[in-house]
Amino acid sequence: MKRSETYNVKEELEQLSPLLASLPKKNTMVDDVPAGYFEKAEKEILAQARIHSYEGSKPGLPDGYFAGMEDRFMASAENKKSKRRSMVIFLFQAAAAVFVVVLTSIIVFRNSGASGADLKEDVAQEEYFNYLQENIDEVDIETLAEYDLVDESDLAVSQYPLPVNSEPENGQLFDSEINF
Amino acid sequence: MSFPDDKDILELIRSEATRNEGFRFLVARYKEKLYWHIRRMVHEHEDADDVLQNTFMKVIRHIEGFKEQSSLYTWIYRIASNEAINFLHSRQRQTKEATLGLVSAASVDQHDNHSPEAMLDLLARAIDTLPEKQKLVFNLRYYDEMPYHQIAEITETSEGALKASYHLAVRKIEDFLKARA
Repeated sequence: MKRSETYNVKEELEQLSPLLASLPKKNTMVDDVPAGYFEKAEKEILAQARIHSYEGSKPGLPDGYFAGMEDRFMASAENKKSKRRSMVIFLFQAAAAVFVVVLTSIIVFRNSGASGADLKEDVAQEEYFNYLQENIDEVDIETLAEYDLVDESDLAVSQYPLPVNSEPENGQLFDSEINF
Repeated sequence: MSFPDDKDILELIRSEATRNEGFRFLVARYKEKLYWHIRRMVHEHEDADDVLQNTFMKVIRHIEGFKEQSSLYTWIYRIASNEAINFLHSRQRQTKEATLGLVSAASVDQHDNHSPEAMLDLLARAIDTLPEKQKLVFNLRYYDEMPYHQIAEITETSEGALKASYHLAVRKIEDFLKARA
């Protein structure tokens, strides 16, 4: 406030009302302002100002946000639908693969019910050995090899033809049959 | 304590990085001036506190849209004046007048009618008899010693009309004091 303006106010008042101009401009309401009020009020106001400032700094909607919303929504829905379809196909294929594996396992399990491995578990080794010896003509050569009834080297294919009209010697039948 | 001037405060507020600092200077610069301006209008401290908070929140909410067609000082005073007058309208002044009347009467009874304290109580009662806008003009001129052109910006009234209003208010108050002193 300029000093000349203050002077003008006083001068004006003296001209208008000497009585009023003579009164002290004492603030009679100062005493009932709580101690520290202005500091507290400032803190409260600034706290609200910060909230307002924070709310004002929230990002707004980009230009044209609503204009393209329908297309974006439809594209998103289509994309989700496509993903869902792909997932169903994948699950179907996985389920089919599992089904085939399980089915194959069952078939193999059932067909291999007389396999040597299972027999080895269920039948005593000695009994099985005896059985093979007694029924040697009914058993293939791989099974014999598996149970050490023939040597692996005996399985090698001979390049030499069997002599015509040659008769195996007694006690060598077994060997001759495997040694061509 | 020295503060940046209004122009610098506005620049601080308009930059997001310094906005809170700008608000701090704004509140620190105007809190007491506005409080007393409001308090003279509404009388009670609690009411003045409410109106002061509302005033600053309006200032803070709208300051980014402030176009500087008037000074920040008068713009803020205009908001405070409107808030104070709206408050008085909402209370219909009934409670305030009754309270002020009782307090002032009691005060006058305790003092010699010609003592400074008694005269100041009478002055408060006299001011309170003025219409709200005339009381606002009187307070801005008498207590804040504000130039007419600034009061004109705050009240959006011509300087000639303001001078007439102020002179008439002084006359009414003098008559009130003379009648009761």
